[in-house]
Amino acid sequence: MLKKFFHQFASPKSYFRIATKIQNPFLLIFVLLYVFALAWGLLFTPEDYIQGNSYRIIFMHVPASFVSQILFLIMAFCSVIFLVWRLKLSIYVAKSIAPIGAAVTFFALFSGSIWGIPTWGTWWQWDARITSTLILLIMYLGLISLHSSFNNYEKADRFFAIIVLAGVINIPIIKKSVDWWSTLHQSASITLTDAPSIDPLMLAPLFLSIFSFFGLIMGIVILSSRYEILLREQSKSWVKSL
Amino acid sequence: MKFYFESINEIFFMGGHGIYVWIVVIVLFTTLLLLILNFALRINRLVKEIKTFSQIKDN
Repeated sequence: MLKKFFHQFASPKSYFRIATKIQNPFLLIFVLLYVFALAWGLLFTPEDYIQGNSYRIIFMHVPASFVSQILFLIMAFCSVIFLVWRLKLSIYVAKSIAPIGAAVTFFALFSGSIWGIPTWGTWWQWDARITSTLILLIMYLGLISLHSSFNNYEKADRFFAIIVLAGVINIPIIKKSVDWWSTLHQSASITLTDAPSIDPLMLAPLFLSIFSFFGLIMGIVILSSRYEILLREQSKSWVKSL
Repeated sequence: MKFYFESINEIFFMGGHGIYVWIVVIVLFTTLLLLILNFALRINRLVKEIKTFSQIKDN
């Protein structure tokens, strides 16, 4: 039964039908949740004793940085499924993540730069964390242009999946860059092994903003994957009968 | 939950850091809105094109 469910869900037609149904309520719930988390962080948390109010950018910068890396990992997971099992839906989803990943990574860099002005006295520094995140943005943009440079979707999909798998090496580099190199960027405040170094009053809205921002971006991924399916399957009878 | 500001002015200026915080908020929501609108409009346009094309083919 489980196998049947996965087999059915993995077909672009079934996925499209389910995605169309859940997309709007999913987006609405996570937009509202993120707005609540952001209002909590911006207005209902105390000022930081060193950084003042500029630290409030954390409720936008950290979720964006986290999601920009998670999106690449999801793309890599989809690429493995595509290369091993040739599941069309997985590459449609991977391809539809790339522009969203690029936008989120750009925002992570932008918000970090703005935060850097009052705290570091500079908006840019070629340190390991910032440079590896810039490489992530370049990879997203490169993947988008690589895919559109092919006339043949089959070839484009295969190259896309291979490059994603090669590029996934950058994710642990981004994560560990603050430990491996001496950087201007601070080291991780939240780790799996140690207690967080952030006050609980600030930590709760931070966790909620990360969770809700991830949900919101997944809602946009659902939207963009529906577009990718329509584009690729437009010659199919089920698309024509929509 | 405790509200940490005493006036609208304080929310806006945030002790001199308001400009940084609110610029990031504006760019964030603009980015999200553009992403959502971009894909929603693309889907609508593509569905219209597919329908028009299949109608022409049927005729």
